[in-house]
Amino acid sequence: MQKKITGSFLKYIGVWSLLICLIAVIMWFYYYSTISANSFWLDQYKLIEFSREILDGELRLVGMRTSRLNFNFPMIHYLLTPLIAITASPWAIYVSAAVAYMLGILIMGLTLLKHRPFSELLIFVSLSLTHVWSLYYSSFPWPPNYIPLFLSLFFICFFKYLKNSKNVWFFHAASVFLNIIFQLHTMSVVLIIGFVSALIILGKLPRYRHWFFQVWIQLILVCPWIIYHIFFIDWANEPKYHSSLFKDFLSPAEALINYLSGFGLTREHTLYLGYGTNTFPYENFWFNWLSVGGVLILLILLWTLKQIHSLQKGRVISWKVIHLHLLPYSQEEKDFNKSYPIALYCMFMPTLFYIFSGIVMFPHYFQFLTPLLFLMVAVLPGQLESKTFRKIAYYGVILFIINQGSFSYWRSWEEYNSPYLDDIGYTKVLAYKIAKECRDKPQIRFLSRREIKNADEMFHYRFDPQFESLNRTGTEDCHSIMVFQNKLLLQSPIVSWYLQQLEPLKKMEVYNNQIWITGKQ
Amino acid sequence: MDHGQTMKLLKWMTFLILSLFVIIVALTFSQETARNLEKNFRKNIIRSFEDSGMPTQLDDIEISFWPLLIKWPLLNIARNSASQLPNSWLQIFKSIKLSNCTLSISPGWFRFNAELQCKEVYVRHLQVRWLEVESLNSALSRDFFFVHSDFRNLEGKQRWWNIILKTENLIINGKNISHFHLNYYFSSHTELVIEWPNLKEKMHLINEPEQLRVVFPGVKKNYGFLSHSLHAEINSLWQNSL
Repeated sequence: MQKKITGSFLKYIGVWSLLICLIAVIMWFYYYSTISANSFWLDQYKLIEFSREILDGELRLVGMRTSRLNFNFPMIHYLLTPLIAITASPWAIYVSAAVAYMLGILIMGLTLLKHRPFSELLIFVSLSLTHVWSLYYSSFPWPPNYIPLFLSLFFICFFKYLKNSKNVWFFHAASVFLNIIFQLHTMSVVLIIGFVSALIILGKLPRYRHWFFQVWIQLILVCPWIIYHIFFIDWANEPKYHSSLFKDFLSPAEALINYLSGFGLTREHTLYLGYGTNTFPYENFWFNWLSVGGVLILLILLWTLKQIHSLQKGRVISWKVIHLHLLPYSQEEKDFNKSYPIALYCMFMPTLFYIFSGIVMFPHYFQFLTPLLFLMVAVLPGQLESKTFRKIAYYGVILFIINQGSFSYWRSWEEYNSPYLDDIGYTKVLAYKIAKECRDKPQIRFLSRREIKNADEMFHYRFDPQFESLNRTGTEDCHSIMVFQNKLLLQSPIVSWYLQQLEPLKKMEVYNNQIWITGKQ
Repeated sequence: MDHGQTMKLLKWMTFLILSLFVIIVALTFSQETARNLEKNFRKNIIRSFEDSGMPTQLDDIEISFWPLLIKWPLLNIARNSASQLPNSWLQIFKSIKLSNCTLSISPGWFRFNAELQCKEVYVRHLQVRWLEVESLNSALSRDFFFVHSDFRNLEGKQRWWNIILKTENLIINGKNISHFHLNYYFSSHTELVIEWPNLKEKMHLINEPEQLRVVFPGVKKNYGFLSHSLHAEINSLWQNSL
């Protein structure tokens, strides 16, 4: 008996170590290339500056404004404050999003290894390490990008509660994590609906005193935002908030497919992307390839929902039954192999409300599906009795993993090979070049297919300290500098023609980018 | 849920959906519904053009549901006030007057068809000057630039519509054209197709990052309106070279 326990423990440690090594190697390869090649917008600036204000004793009651001009919740600033206290480097904040994502995969992986079949762990980890949007969003700081870590923590607590509903503290912990997720992005409110419906359907509602206790905790967590809106806000000077409800009935479905497949990231410019990867000359190939993946995952998802739906007991819907289900621990589902997939199903289903809402949506609105989606897909093969169907499910999932992984890792290579020099990791490269060549501090201009833009405040926020710290040995009066990717010359005949009209004083090349000293034109 | 329960639920749902449909159809026969819709339609049209700085006159609208027709004696869209973007491509049009019109709407395959039939359409626009660039095989607009959001807004509103415009008399900057017929529709997110069925001609307006490209099938030369910042840069180069 002792031998058996030691053997399984060793196997457990072995698999766990292997998993950590695998995640570390793959993630290192991905993040090494992509974190440096990320843009820096006003939102990242505010994340850093608002957290600094908290450190200076100015406690924030609300977060930054949303694109609809209303205020976000302040949770993210409090979460980042300890990190800002240690380091002021924006780069460290970028790394924190990646570390949070990895941590989420590791702890969720550990839970699956302990409680679920090994195949589920493999599928979960493979999807987490390849899914296009999830990986992309985990490479820079933005409030919704920390959701996967907290959703993993939520699921761990929720599953512990499903296994043993006597330990009601897991219910409270899960609810608190859900509140944090909601504060990181309000579109994840559907997870709260899913959580409550899972508790009702599985007969896991705790005693009434715990309901009330939890409602109080939830109110306390959101009270800074409420207090600000009741006592401090100057409504007379508030801008008019926008509403996007009932505006575009195709947008939610389009954004969901985009989130599932990642095809939106093959475009260099889209709304709320800043700028993505310049996939030229393979843009159409990757778009079509990922669209095929989108259809595949949609079919797998529908199949999973159908299979889990059939797990639920045949029940008559009546007022009496509904009343019974609202009673604590009434008709409780004690079989974890049933309650686990049903819980995932209940958590996912309210997402479909958005499809009919007409809200204008974007892929990042669906970040609350990471890692819920991966956990759901992982349970599919185990729910199939027929060997043939199980094989089809495995092949489908493997194909999707290849589909997503091929683009994700090609993208990271491309970002490494041909970044934009105004990206977070490359401003110092530009600063070094300018310090070496120029006697003055020239105006820096970035050229893309869409526009020629002057380096803005967000660029100078990072560039100026780096530039000032360098030993300036330049002898040229540069006056103006034009920066663009090499591939732009092939990609755009008009821009190429425009560049031919210029007579630069000097042309330089670094990281497949051109830096032209244009002087006074 | 057993088979009987499922059937019962299905029957109830079918009954509810049918009832809702009947209520909606009954409402369309009410005079009050038509009056409210006329008021809202007028307000929305005027507001949407005024938001773009174009005062609009639209009076005496008549709406009927079976078949779906909207009639008006005069719709006058004028651009009087100065714009925030004075040289945006949309500023080419100074005024459009549509007299004695009937707009009929019918469902088609994956699109709605909207046929606008007017007695007279009067259009006043500015002349566009072009700069020939031989190496690009293209002519670029000298005075007007392209704003991507204008195209996106138009596409957002008319993506699912096939618009047909017919008029007995079209007057463009004082020049008369009788029996004018034009169709337009979006063939993709980035492409608007304009057809003249009588002349068997077509024009494609393609939203590209650098420009709005105007392509005539069969003609090798393109026309283009550059994006705002590229236009400003290239314009300053032209000014310097003059």
